[in-house]
Amino acid sequence: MRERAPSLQPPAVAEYAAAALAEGLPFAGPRRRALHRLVRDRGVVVGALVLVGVGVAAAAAPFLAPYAPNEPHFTATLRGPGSTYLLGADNLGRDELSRLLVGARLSLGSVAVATLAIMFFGVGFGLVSGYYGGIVDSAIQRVVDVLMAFPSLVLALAIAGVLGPSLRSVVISVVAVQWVSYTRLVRGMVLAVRRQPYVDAARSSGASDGWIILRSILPNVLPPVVVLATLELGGVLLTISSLSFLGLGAQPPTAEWGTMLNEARPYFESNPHLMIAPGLAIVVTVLAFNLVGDGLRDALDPRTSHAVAGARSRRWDRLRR
Amino acid sequence: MKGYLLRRLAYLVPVLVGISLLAFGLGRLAPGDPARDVIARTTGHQPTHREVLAERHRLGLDRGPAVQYLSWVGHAVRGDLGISYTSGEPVARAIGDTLPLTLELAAAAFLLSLLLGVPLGLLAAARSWSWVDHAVRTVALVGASVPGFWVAYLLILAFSVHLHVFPPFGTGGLSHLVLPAVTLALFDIALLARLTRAAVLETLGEDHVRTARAKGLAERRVLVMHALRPALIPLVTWSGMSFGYLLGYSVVVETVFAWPGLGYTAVLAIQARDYPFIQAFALVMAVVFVGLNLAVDLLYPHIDPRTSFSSAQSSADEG
Repeated sequence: MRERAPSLQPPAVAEYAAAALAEGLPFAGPRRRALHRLVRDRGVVVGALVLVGVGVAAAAAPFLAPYAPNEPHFTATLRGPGSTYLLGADNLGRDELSRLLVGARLSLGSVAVATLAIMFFGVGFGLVSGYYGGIVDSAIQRVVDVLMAFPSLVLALAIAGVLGPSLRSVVISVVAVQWVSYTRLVRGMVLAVRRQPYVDAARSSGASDGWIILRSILPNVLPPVVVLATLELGGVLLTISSLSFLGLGAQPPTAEWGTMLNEARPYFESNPHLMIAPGLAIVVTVLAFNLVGDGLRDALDPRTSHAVAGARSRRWDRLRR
Repeated sequence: MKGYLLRRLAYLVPVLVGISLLAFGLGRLAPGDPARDVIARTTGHQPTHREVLAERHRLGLDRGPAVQYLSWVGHAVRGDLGISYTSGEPVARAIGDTLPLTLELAAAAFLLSLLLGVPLGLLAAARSWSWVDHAVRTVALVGASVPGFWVAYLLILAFSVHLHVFPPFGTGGLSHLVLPAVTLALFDIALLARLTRAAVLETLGEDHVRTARAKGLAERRVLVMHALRPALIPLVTWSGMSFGYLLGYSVVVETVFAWPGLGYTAVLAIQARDYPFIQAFALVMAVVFVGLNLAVDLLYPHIDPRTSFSSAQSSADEG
């Protein structure tokens, strides 16, 4: 019994890590490998930089915006982009750039609130459903079945429409519709995890259900949830702006990207800049979300990574010649 | 096959009950008193208490929620979806008039995404890591990140306002269908190109493809018959999900193009707070979606021989 296998001794691991780092090799742990893949992914870096930029612009909007977002300049009505109004002015003579910057706060803020709420409810119900099983599980899963039987935008539109137009009802409707996919994902993972020895160990040492769920199970299901949430950030922004565009979201004169697009509708032929600017803001942000999300997924799941697929297809290219 | 169908239908019963409960519940989420609302709208004056009570009775709102639900479902099953608050006409008739237009648009977008998405993905996989592949992947990434309604306006600006190729609004001949269908298909084209590319890259590495190449088949034949065909099976699952997107997003596209389908009508109903129509809209869209998914499930055994009950057909290999 004294003589154990030489591996897995903590000092040895540390030594290996030190050696690996010294040689510039990736650290052996899967997390570090994932991180390594992540920072080498150009898309992720570009996407993250864009998101930081958009985030800083939104946070500093009151200082960056040249004018107050709702301040009308009657001489500038429907003016095109120029030196005084960099992105032009809208039908009420409000500075488009200022509205775009201030609007970012609401647009991105509502995405953040919606995504956190979706994760909270989705993960919560998934944990309870998978851990307790039985009638609780069946009940939750039937609700999920029903919500998934609706085309998601149809249900979100109906809920937001019935609640009455406001950004709050749009966020509520998106949360009400979207939490289900997280519940399905988490429940599946909990079913796989809850029979693991460390869960039994926690239980036999007297841990409560709550402790086991939060401390033993949750950390194991969280990484895929984070990947899913990152992948869906862009979709959430698109859904919220679509509903705002239909007039269900933030109400005029509030500056919000989707609402700005809705207000630009009557002028799209004569003044396309009013539609192009908020649209581009959405496109750039969603693109950045998607780049980071794709990269995160690839980094955590090497099977789908570009490197693997690329190596495989290059091998076939060589064989073909 | 028959047993499978029965089991699948039995599973649908609780889902359909849930759908109807949720659609009915939508009407009760609404703030305010519908009876007061209806009177104020039809007569234009603030109703007296007596009038409100009478209207409530007429609309059946003075009964318990369970009775109201059962009565609503009973009528819905018989094709009676209530009376619109705004037009005073049967909701079912309005839906019957508008749903075909939505389905036409969704079907056109579905075909378009298959016709463009699959070949693009195949092309990218066949020339993987070349500039073609990069171009397709970039287009797919951007296509999945762009708000459809925004693209719609860009398309109208380019093709209607400047080039005068397609009409910007309304229905009519095939030319009216082009821009809305392209807009609606855009997201699916992007998604399908990515899915096809990944699936084909996966099958290109498999042994049967190597065998096909080893016996000297033309590369085009290898790609289409041996790499693409098995890669198409996951696309059946995709199509089920895609219907949900197409039905949902048709609302937005129809609104931009003033396409008088169910989605556009529903947006108008929401603006007018016409709750019976909103309830019916959610119910009908969900039932259509469930029906389409059922059709896809029943189609599965015909497309993937491994799931069929008939004798295993070997995937055709007449090379």
